[in-house]
Amino acid sequence: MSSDERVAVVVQKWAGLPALPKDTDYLKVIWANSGNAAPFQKDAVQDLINRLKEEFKNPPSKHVILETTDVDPGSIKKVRDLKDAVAQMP
Amino acid sequence: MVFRKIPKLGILVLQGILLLFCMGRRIVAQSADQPEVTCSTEGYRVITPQLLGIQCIEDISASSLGVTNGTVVEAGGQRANTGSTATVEHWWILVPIPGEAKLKPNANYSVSLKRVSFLDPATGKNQASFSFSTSETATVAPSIVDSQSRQYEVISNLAFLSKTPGERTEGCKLLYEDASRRRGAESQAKEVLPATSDRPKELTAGCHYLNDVTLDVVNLVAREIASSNALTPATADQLTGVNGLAHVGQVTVVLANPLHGDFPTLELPTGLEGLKDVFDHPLKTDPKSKFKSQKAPSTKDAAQWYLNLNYAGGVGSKPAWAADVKVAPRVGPLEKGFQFSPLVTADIGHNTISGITYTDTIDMGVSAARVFMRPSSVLQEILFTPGVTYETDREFDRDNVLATTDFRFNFAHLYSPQSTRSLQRFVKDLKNNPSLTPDQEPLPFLGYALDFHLGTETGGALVDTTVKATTGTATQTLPTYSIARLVPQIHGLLQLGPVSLDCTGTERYLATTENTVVQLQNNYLILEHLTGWKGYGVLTATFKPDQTGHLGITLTYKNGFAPPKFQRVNTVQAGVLLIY
Repeated sequence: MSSDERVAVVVQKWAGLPALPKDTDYLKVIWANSGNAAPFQKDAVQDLINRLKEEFKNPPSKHVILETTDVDPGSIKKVRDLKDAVAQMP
Repeated sequence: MVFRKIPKLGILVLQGILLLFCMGRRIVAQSADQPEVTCSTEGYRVITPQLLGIQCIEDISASSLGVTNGTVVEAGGQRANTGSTATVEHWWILVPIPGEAKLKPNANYSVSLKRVSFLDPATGKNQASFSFSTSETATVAPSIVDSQSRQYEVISNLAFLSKTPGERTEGCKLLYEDASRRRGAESQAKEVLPATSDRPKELTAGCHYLNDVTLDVVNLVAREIASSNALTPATADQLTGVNGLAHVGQVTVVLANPLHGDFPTLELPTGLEGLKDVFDHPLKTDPKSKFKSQKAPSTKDAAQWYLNLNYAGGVGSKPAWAADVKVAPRVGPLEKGFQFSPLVTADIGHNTISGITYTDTIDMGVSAARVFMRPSSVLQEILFTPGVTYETDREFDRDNVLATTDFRFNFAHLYSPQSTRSLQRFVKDLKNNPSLTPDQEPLPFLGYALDFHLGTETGGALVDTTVKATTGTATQTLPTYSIARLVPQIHGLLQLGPVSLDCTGTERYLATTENTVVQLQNNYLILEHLTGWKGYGVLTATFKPDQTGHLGITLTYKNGFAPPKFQRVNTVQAGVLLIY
């Protein structure tokens, strides 16, 4: 499974989605519509980054060094942005 | 016998014809019954001269597309049938192109596939064919990861050709030229500039090639298409690589040194030294390429800096000022799931109103926060925040060091602020207006949130201190004492249009006897011993005239006892709020 697919699965589980999210979906919109009673920033974003770190401990591993400020209102706003960001990690 | 055999043979022939007819009908019916699949196109990659990847926004693997084929047409050139497509990675359609029609550099093409229509998300138009180009350009852009300020991306729709397939990291040089050299035609620039300036300047960097192809891979794809008109799943997997097809033709460049001063505005990136596309040609730089400039935070959600300046007044009293300050920038990435933050909060003022005082609290320290999501369907989040705090006052005559813990509990259906409700409505409005963005969605009138905290504060006043009266010469020794407090808290938010009401009720149970010095109205100082419950409440009404929420006019009512002085506070303050 490619890193793009792994990120999509992490986002799906993070928000409890029935299917994989689209690349064009906004992360904060996904979260707001997930029915979770937690703020997107900083709590939900922190949880998302923790999940990505856990996922990419498994081989082929990546060193996920994202910060919560990188995500909306930072530049990572959509699922595609998150996939790109993770792929860039060595 | 012959007479008897003829009908039997005839029946067999008839049965055969009927069977073939039925099978034919079935095949035709199957083909006609299979619905047309729409691919909302997100992008494409020319992976090899004989392999095109089309990226769909939808999970195309969940559709009934299966294997199909079609035609590829060069603009003003030949038309050829494609090989059998494959769907990979949920979102990609791989289109093999036979050798006789293999793609040429710097040409425009369109491809159409049976049972597939292509939706352009920008225009909302459905088309039977998808247009693409083999233009040999690459864009250099700042990384999507803001915290990596030295990181850039070089991106092309054409795969990069290298000696090593897939993902790799090695040293490289990012080339750049000054802006003036880029003005006008390239030939003119060469005439104007001396010969020594022809070579672009370079920055030392590390390059992380996300998904390259090699000549061996190009040849493997060509052989498979020649033999079976399709790719084997093993080759498709190899091309997908660690990162996926979206990262074919993508390099992450990390500069060895940060860029200083006005460098980004004066210089323009021109590409990577030695970078070649899958046609074995050097890539030209897209004119949209640029270096990074600093961005300012834009919304209240990212607030790390908080300043609330207040002006207080009372009957028969001189006016007074108060400042409520919070500085809590996040530092670095998460460690073991915790976000570490330095913290400075101050609620101080210059008290001149008789009978009224401010909490006079300054806290400095470090906290770490960790989120635990969905422990149960009712309790949906626990935010655990341990920390170490130095607690003092404006006069710095208190020296309390505290280990703090705070658990915040968020329950189902109790978090629905205007921002969340707006994003929920956005999904519905997006169906009517596909170009709508979340930030354009207006805020609804109503919003609310309610959360509960339980915390502890343990530690002590480390040394005896001498407290001086704010007026006069009185002094009083404040002896050391230990601190053990239980701190339950409730926090509520009600938003009504541009007005919000934020209420925090905090109870502190002092399990040990704490000391404080109280200044009387005659400016005498007395030592008091405190124990038991001490309550403190804050109700803030804020009017925010604009949607950005950076600026607000506040009216704050505070009542109760807050550490370290635990003096009675009962005040109303009006002020201006800045959140960034």
